[in-house]
Amino acid sequence: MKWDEVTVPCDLPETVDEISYERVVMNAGTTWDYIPWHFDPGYARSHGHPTIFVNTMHLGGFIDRMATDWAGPYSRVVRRKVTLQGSIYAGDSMVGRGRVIDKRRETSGAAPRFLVDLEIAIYNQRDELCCPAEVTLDLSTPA
Amino acid sequence: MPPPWVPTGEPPTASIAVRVPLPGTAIINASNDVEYLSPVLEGDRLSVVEEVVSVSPEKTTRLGVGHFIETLETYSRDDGSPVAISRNSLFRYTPAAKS
Repeated sequence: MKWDEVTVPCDLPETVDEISYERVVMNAGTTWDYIPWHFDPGYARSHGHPTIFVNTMHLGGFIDRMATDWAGPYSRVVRRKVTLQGSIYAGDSMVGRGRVIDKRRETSGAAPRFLVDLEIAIYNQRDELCCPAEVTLDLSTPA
Repeated sequence: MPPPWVPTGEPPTASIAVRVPLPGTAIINASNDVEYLSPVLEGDRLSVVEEVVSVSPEKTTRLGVGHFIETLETYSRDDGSPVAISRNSLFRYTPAAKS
């Protein structure tokens, strides 16, 4: 995807990931996040949760995947803001929906940057909003 | 996240938000805002500085009573040039008693 080709607004393809217990534990482990929320169902239940849930970096990785799957291999995530409103638990579906909200040429740095702003939101299978996010992609590198 | 194990055998270090002297036995993340200022390249060696930016007054949420701790992590190369800045808000709390 080239910056010139980006249309505003534009929807990203919906992406769904089925979240097994293994996925929750693997992502927490690979990001060194050994807080018991992410591997110990008993601890999670004792703190009012039905079971273990995915960590922040798992959500961030899913959001980046959606953004770069859409924009292609020459895109780079330069900003990602996530807000944790609800949890995606083992056994849930993680449903990502996104859209392009702006494209802009930034000239304040040493070289101009060709940026695209996205809104991406993660829902569960009950359509409950769990994690709204803002993402900025740099599409300056020519394809 | 600090490494849970290091090859030199030093004990693991907890995240700075956990080391702040506050009550609260549980933590949960509230938000994260990260900027990737320049690509990390093969051969780069990175270091990170963690700072506590603010601690909120005591808050009562459905999870329990606690404080929101805002931290700032700045990742830099050996020459001091920053490659990423991460702002995080975490809620550290004492779980509410089960009703």
